[in-house]
Amino acid sequence: MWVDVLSGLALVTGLAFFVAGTVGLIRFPDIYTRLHALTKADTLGLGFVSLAIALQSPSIFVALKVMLVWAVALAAGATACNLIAQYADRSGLRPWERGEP
Amino acid sequence: MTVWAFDILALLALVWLAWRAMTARRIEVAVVTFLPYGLLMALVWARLRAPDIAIAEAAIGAGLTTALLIAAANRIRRRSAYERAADTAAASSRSADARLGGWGKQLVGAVLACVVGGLLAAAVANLPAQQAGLSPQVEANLSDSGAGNPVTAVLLNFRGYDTLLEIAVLLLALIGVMQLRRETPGPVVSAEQRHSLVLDSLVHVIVPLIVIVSGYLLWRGGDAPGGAFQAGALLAGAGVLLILNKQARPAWLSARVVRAFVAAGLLMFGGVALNVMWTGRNLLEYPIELAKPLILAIEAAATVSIAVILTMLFGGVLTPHRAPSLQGGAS
Repeated sequence: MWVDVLSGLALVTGLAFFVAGTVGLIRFPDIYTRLHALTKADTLGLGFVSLAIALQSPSIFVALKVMLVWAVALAAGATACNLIAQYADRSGLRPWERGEP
Repeated sequence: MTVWAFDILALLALVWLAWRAMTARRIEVAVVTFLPYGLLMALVWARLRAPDIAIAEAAIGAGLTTALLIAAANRIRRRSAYERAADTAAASSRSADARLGGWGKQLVGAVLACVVGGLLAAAVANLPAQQAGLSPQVEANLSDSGAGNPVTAVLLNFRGYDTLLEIAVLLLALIGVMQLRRETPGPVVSAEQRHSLVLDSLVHVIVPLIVIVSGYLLWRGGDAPGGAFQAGALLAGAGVLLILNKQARPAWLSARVVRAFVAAGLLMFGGVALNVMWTGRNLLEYPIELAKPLILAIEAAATVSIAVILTMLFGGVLTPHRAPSLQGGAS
């Protein structure tokens, strides 16, 4: 029973991060701030959703596999974000500053 | 109810993404749209309870095909002046065609699409109402197949002929690509792309992990979703990562070894298929007691071949890399 409550809470928290990340991706002004928003959804959002699924899994091994998926997505997401940001920086994309459109 | 809502949402998104990928004006947008399309497609296959295809679609459709498309888009952007001139010549003859055709050509295309679509719809409508298909037969003979996973049993035993030819087709595709590549050399990875330390450390963690998961998929494929194609495609993903990271090719991986890897799957499959005929059996008719080890041997060889072929379709391992070694240094 309390497991269901806990995983439900984790799921809602994760979804909140995904919503925030998506809104940020659409609304933020430049690539750096958008990446910032997106990686929060990737890491924390997926983390909480994975936690919710792991709590509902039938065995500890399935739970560990789900958390492994999160760990791999974490590493890949962070690396991809870094590569995109580096490329943008090298191509001369200037970070957005307050007051610009 | 909620599951239905999810399915309908997924299907609508799938159609929308396919439309966006086809009609995008910029080639980069089309390529990038193809990635979520592949991922969503994998999800839909999983919902259709076809996990084998879902894994293959995620690895090949979303992963490798996107990598191939990005590489192709990059190549198109940095074409040599010579090729541009050739293209202009081709385009002028094409515009002559367009003056002849135009609307008429589109009309013919639309009519043909309607005819083919109608024929397909008629074929589906005329299918016998039997729901189960051939699965009762597969289930009944599963214990003799040497595999516990019905998909593997069909692919490697009952319809082994199809899979044998598929591996041959993959090999032929690579040979064709290598012929074309000799005419238009050029690195897939742009020269100005610098070595990234972050990518480097990811590669060092994730490539060994991919090798383990690939072996797991291969072994599990006998009794659960997985198998040679999924394991090979995953391994090819590791190969693409190594190429993107400009990893130096190890010295033992000579062109001859690579060719042996490329041919291993077809040689092993064909060898087994022919050798069972010595004892008076038909082509590909494995002895029941040897079916499991034979299938495992074929799948292991096929995994290596599929991985190397798919990697080479992306980057061409045969051409020696002028890449910096692990210790660093500029290329």
